[in-house]
Amino acid sequence: MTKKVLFGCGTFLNLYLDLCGLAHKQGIKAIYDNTPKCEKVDGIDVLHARELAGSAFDFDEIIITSRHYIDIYNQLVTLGCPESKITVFHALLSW
Amino acid sequence: MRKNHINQNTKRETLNDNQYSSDIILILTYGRAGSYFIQSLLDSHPELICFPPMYTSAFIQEIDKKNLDISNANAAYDTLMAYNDGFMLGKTEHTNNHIAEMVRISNLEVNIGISLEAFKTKFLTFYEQVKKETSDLKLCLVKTMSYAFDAAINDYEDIDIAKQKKILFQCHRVDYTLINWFSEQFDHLDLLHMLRSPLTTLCSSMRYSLKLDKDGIATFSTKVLENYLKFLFFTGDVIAKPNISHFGVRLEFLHQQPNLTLEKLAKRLNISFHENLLTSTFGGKDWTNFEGKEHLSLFNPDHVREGTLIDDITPYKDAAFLGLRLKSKYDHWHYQHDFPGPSRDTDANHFLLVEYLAVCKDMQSAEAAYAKQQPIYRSREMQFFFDYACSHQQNLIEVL
Repeated sequence: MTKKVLFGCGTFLNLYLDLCGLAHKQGIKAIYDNTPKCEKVDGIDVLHARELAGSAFDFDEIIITSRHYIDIYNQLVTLGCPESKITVFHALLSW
Repeated sequence: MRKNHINQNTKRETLNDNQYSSDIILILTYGRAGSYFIQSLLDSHPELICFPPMYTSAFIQEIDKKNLDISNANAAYDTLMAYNDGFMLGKTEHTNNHIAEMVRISNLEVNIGISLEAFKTKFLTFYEQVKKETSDLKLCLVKTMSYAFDAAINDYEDIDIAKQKKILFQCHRVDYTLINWFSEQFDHLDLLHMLRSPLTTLCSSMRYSLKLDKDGIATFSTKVLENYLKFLFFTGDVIAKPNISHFGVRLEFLHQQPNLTLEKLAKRLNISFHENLLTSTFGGKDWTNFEGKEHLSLFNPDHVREGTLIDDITPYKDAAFLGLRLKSKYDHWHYQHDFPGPSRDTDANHFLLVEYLAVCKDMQSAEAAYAKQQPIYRSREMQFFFDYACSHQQNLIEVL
């Protein structure tokens, strides 16, 4: 199964989890956020963004689920995340 | 009276085993791709309630955004009638010139023959009945206005007749929050996405925007262009929710092979293929989307082009620039294309003619600026969309 992580804990995370389907949800390993306000969402660990660097980007895809997706995209690239692994939740792009 | 009336004797023959339908169909579009046209074909189907197309998802969004009062039958009715000045709902005297002009430009001047009094009476009666079944006021409004419209057009009193039909509604803006809300309110949601050759759609949208701007109806700005482009690049992704069926219908197929395409569509929507599908109507009254309205046939295979459109709005280099970003859609939806194949490096500093048009508003000065590639403001968002679209991996919807 593809190993996915999410970035962004706001209202669009809820929309993403509502729309993504159970099978997809089971493949989500963690949710990162710049200011995490809880430890878990739907049973998935919420981690601080600074832990991303330590993860060595050991995932196949990171999906941005925040309306600040341009800033987060740039942040991820700056941290060294390969661009090919970064995806923006499509609902945000056509918002 | 409208053609699609199901009377008490025949309704069982045309409907599924379920007594009441809890299905809804939303029509999506990514520009001028035939969303009104497809509704006009589905309009007279006896198993569907097609609310007038000028009442789009924007109306539902406005209820939330402006906190409009829909808490009781009278308030909900007033809110609905105020939204588009009662156009296509039986109101004959209009005071809002802006909406009247939009109706004219969108070719929606259809006298559908609905009686305002009949619509109001049914709306107020049905609202109370629907409210007993749901505590969600927006859902109550959507169902009530649909049921009341159908009952007024077809002249019946029994809400149960309406409840056996599927509701069809225009969801022009691809608002996933609203789509998700609809999917939670209904057992099944069909997302019918109207598709058209992407660059042809863009050109048509640009011409329409320039026309609106020239007539003083809506300003054509860089922001408007940005919205068109992001819809073009990023809509059409599959939505994974189990009760959502998301698929596309090509406008070109509809014109070239109407019977076959509509048969496939009817099958997918789980409705019977019906002769009425070949007639373009709103509220049962004939309608055509072609300018001048004098066309004898509503299907016009010569009118649609599906190849790469290189013309006065998208010259060769712009078509290549945009085509690179739209290639997956062209390929996946089997559209012909012959993009010259530029690289990201060579077009990094290229500005599009449509970007100049959004600023200059007239072709002559836009072309002059374009020829010189004069530096022009490009928003951070637009630049991101251009860059990201090059590498965006999409899981695109199936086309019928």
